[in-house]
Parts: sequence; structure tokens; C-alpha cells
Amino acid sequence: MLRSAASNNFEGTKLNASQPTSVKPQQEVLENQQESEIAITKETIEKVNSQIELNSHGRLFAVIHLAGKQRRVTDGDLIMIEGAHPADVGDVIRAEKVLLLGSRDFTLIGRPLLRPDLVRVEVTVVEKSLTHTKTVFRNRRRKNTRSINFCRSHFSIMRINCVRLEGLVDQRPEIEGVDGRVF
Amino acid sequence: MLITRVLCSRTPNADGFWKRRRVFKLTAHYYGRKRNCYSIAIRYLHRALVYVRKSRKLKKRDAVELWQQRISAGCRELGSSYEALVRGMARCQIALDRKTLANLAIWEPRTFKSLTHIAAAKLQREPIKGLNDFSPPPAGVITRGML
Repeated sequence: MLRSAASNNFEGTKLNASQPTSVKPQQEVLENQQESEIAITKETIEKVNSQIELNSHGRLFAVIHLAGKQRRVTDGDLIMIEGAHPADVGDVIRAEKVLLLGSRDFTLIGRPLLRPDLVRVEVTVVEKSLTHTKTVFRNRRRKNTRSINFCRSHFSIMRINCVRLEGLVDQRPEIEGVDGRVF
Repeated sequence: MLITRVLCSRTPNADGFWKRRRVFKLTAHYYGRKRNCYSIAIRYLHRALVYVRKSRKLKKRDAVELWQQRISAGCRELGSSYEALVRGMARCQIALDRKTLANLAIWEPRTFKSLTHIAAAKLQREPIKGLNDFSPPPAGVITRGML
């Protein structure tokens, strides 16, 4: 691309074509950076993929969306889920909504989710129980109205079995979104 | 005359003792007469129990406020702003919530930095009035027009 700044310098003055000007036209050459950018991208993706293949990325963390809340988890974490959850104790669940995956050297960010065949986060239900008793006390001052209730809500505790990468970055299968489905 | 009935009405109510005991157990840590005088203790206990119920909601609201403060502090450290990060991310369809972002700002600073850069690169491409104050513009962000 050629960008001429010369035209700006003469703005407002009359140019006489026959009169030679002492000012040289200022030009700068902008390089086409597309190829270098593609090269950097390729190199980066290769580095990430080699780490995945050699399993040298170290411990991974993931941000998963589970039971209406986002949680940042890693291997061996215990997470608490408030409210009733259909899974029973001992069930192994796969957290399919992975929003972000991070390691020592790279971070994969989903828009909004990462591909399900790229990341695998498995969760085991460890405990299901009720919380401590919460007192729900309502009182209207000077109105002689009050009520007291006690409530205990459900919760389940889950253990993160694994956060691992299963596929390579930037290598998409021909057909997507059908793995794990029965036809 | 039924003497027993008369005597019964004069004895203090047996349940009353347990009712008061229940209240005094809850006011045991109070100071002064509101700890041991029932009529005063019950007033203060009612007020305290109402606060318990109300503050269960306030706790969540306060947490959100804290996350926002942490995110904006993390952004300002990098020369960006909370608004720029959140709106840039929304345009990139990155759906991380405030709780996670605050967590990342503290424990994963490099991930958080890259998120601010992505948001800034998006805002450079699609500017919002008054939000492009990221200075200097993030270097080394390669989007190839796909952001």
C-alpha cells in the first residue's frame, strides 16, 4: 500500500505545475502483514498442539458452567452445588459446557463454549444432603404480625475427576456436534 | 371448692420456662439486660432474626459489588477499564461472568490480560463512543479479521 502525505502539505496553497517544488513527496511503504501474521498463528498453534500431543502442558484448569453457575475447576477439586440436582451419589457426569481452558503456557477461550471433542471435564457426585437449618423470620414492627419458618435446602458435593484435552487445536472434524448422540 | 384447680392456676406455666430458655440460648452473647431479661431479650432477638433473613440477600449483592471492584482494579492495572472489558467481551461472545473474571484477575493474571487485549482489539475494530481509552493499543494481538 502506498500512502501519500504530500497532498496534505499543500492543502490550501495553489500549485503551479510549471514551478518546480523543493519539497519531495513524503511516502511510506506499509508492508502487507497478512503473511507474517499467518506464519505467527501457525507457529503458535503448532506449539500448542505439540504440547497437547506430548502431554507436557501440565495441570489444566477449566471454567465450567454447571447447575447455573460458572466455576473455575482443576483436577481433584470439590465443588458444591446448591439446590436439587438429578444425579445420584456415585454418578459420573461430564461437564459439557466448558467456557475456558487454561494451562501454564496457553489459554483456550470459548465463544462462548469450547468444542466438546476438544476438552473433557468429568465430575463424580460424592455427597447429597441438606444444608443447616435456616431461620426465616418475618416481623412487621408495631403491627403484631410475625411468622417463623425453618428451611433446609438440598445440596450436592461433586469431585472433579479430570480436566483434560482430547483433541488438537484448529483441527476440526468434518461433521461436528454429533459425537455421543444415538441415531 | 376445687382447690387443685386454684393451685394449678397459681403455679407458673411449665412450658414458659422452656420457651424462655430457648430465647435465652439465642441471646446468650448479648450485652446487658437484653441478655437475661426476657421481655427485653425477645425484642432484640426478633430484630436480629429479621436481619438474618434480609442479609442472606444482601450477602449476594455485596459479593457482586466486590467482584466488580476486583475486575475494575485488574483492568486499570492494565490500562483498560471495566466497561471496555465487559462490552468488548460481550461483542466477542465470551460469556464469562463477573465471579469468574474476578477469580481470573487474581489467580490467572496472564489469562485475564489476554481477555482485556481481546476486548480492546474488538473495540478498536468496532468502536463504542467513550470506551476506546485503551492506551497504548494492545500489541501482538493477531485477529486476522476473525474476531
